[in-house]
Order: sequence, then C-alpha cells, then structure tokens
Amino acid sequence: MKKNTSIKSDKKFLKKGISDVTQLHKEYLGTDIPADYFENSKLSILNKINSETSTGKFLKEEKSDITKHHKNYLGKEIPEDYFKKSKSSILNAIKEDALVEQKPKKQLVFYLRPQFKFIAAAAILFLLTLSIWLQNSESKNNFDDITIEELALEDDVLIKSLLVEDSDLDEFTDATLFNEVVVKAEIKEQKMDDLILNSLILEDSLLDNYMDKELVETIIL
Amino acid sequence: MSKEAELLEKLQNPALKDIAFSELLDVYQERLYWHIRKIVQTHENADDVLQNTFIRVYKSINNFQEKSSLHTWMYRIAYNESMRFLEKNKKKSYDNIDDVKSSKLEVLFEDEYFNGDEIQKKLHKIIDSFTEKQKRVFHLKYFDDLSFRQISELLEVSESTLKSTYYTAVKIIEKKILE
Repeated sequence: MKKNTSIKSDKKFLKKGISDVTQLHKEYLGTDIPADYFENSKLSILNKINSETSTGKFLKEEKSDITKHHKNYLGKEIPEDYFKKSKSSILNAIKEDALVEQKPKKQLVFYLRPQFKFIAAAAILFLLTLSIWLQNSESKNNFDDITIEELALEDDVLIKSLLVEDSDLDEFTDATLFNEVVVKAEIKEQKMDDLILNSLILEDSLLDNYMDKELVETIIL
Repeated sequence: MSKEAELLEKLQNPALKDIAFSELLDVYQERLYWHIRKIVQTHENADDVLQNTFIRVYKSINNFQEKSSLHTWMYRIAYNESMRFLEKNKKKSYDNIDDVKSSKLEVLFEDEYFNGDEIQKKLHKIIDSFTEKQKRVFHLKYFDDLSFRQISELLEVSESTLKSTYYTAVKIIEKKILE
C-alpha cells in the first residue's frame, strides 16, 4: 500500500528554514506591513528621541556627581587629585598661620620706643633751658645773697654798713673789726716775712727802693 | 543630634578642632569650590579663594553664633570672599557693562581648565545674560544642588520667589539653547 503523500505534506505546513521574519508572519499570519516600514520607523524613533531632548530636557534632573555635572554642562575641569592636594594645602596654611600667631611679638627696648624718644628730647630741652636760666640768675648782683662776712671785707665799710640790717649790725661790727685788725695785720706780717727773705738776696743799694712807704709804716707801727 | 551639629560641636572644642576641620573639608570642599568657581571663573582664582574661605572658617568658627546653619554660613563666607577677590582684581577700563561681561567670558574660555564645546559655551553665554539674582538662584539650585529652603536661608528670599526665578531661568535656557 502506498503512503498518502498529502498527509505527509500536511505535517510540513509549518515550514522551517524561513529566515525572513517578516515573510514568515506574512505567510502564516497574513499580517502585512507598509513598504520600507522599518527604515522609516528607525528614522521616526530617532527623531522622536531628538525632539524629546531638545524640548525641556536639556537640563537633566538626574545629575551625576557635582564635578562631573560641572564638566558636562559648563565644560569646567579640574586638575587630577585636586581636592586631595587642596585639602593638604589648606591644612598646612592653617598650621603656618597658627605658628606665626604663637611667635612672641618683638618687644622694643624701652629707650627705643618712639614715645620715650619724645620724652627724652623734651627733658633734655628743659634741662638746657633751666641751666641757662640758672646761670643768668647767679650772675646777677643780688644783695640779699651777700653775707655779712663779705660785706665786712669791703674797703668802704661805712657805705657797706648801710646795706646791713639793724639786727645784723653787731655781727657786721665784729666781722669788720676782725677783718681790719686781725686779718689785715696778718697779711702785712706775711709781706714783711717776704721782704726779709727777698732782702737777703738783694744788694743793699736796692734796698731803699724796695722798701715802700707802707712797709716803713708797718715796721714803725 | 544632626551630623552638622555634631561636627560644629567638635569644631568648637579645641581638643578636637583639627580633626573636625579635616572632616569639614571632606564634606564641603568640593561644593564650595564649585560655588566659588562659578563666580571667579578660573580654576586658579577659585583655588586661592577656596583656601582663603576655609582659613576664615577655621579662624571664625568659635564666633559662629548659629543664627543660620553651618552650611549656609560657609556659603556666605565663600560668596563674600569671591566678591572681595573680584573687587580687588577688577579692571577699571571698560566703557560699558557688555564689555565687562564679554571679558569675563573670554577669561573663562581661555582658562587652561575650560574644555567646553559650542553647546557649553552657549550655555555660559545664556546664563551670563541673566540678572545677578537669576544667575545666583539658578547656579545654587541646578549646579550646587541646594534645596529651595537652603537657598531661601542663604539669600534671605522667600521660597516662592526663588521657585519663580528658577523656573523662569530654566525656560529661558531651554528656549535659547536650541536657537
């Protein structure tokens, strides 16, 4: 008996080996698509994507890390390992700053301070003025400063006695007497001694010339 | 106790200050750097200002009165240091404000550490056209990733005003970037 080939052919309804998916769908499911559909569809999808990015979606809400975000949108970059190096730099700067503040401040020697210089200059000027004034005042003939003894030594005793206070008159008298008698006598005696000494070396002929009137009076008196 | 409060307590303790300050650097250094760099533009300038900022924080931490958060206080110091830097370095030979702006962008684009393409340069120009207030709010919200509440504390402006300012800035960018 021969096998029914049609039955066998019915079992091969679902053909194998059709690589074209579109063709397969068309053949078995009757579904068709427009010509060049996929090519057009590709363009359409791309356009849609582009349009989505260009209307309100340029500034993305989902952001990567802050540095990448600045790079992506603003084109700004930083050196490699910048933040690590910057941290060290900042910490070192703070340490250096702290060291500078801890150093003891230079203290000016007292006499080099500006205020002291002015004070010193003023003091020197004052002293100079004072000394000049004092010199001027000492050179004046102030009768109040003359002592009784000084007055008594003056030759013109009568006139000088007018300058003496009444209460000091006794003292003045004593001083005058002392001066006239004792002091002058001693001076003359000294002169006599000098004359005697000198006469020993002078010639006799010169002796008369040497001897003055006062000396004769002294000898006689 | 929050992490910030814990850190602050350590910073104000002489025995723990240095260790705590090192932690502070780990937490805030990157954020403050970018905040500063957007103001002073170049990496070199930002590096200087960042160092000055943290030195000032270290010296002033004992005087911190907790009227604001530590985070806000540090941002304020960073902003003030940046402004001080700009004031010190500003050139006086400009005829108008446009010259100033274009000069700032030129400096930015010529910086060794700027590697932006045309889109990025365009974004810079758009942001640069904002008012100072818009610029600050946009930077703080979008790039520095602060919340509106934090920005409100920092700038002492209401959150609703900030939101309005921010979303206006975003719309301008989205519109102009495609032109």
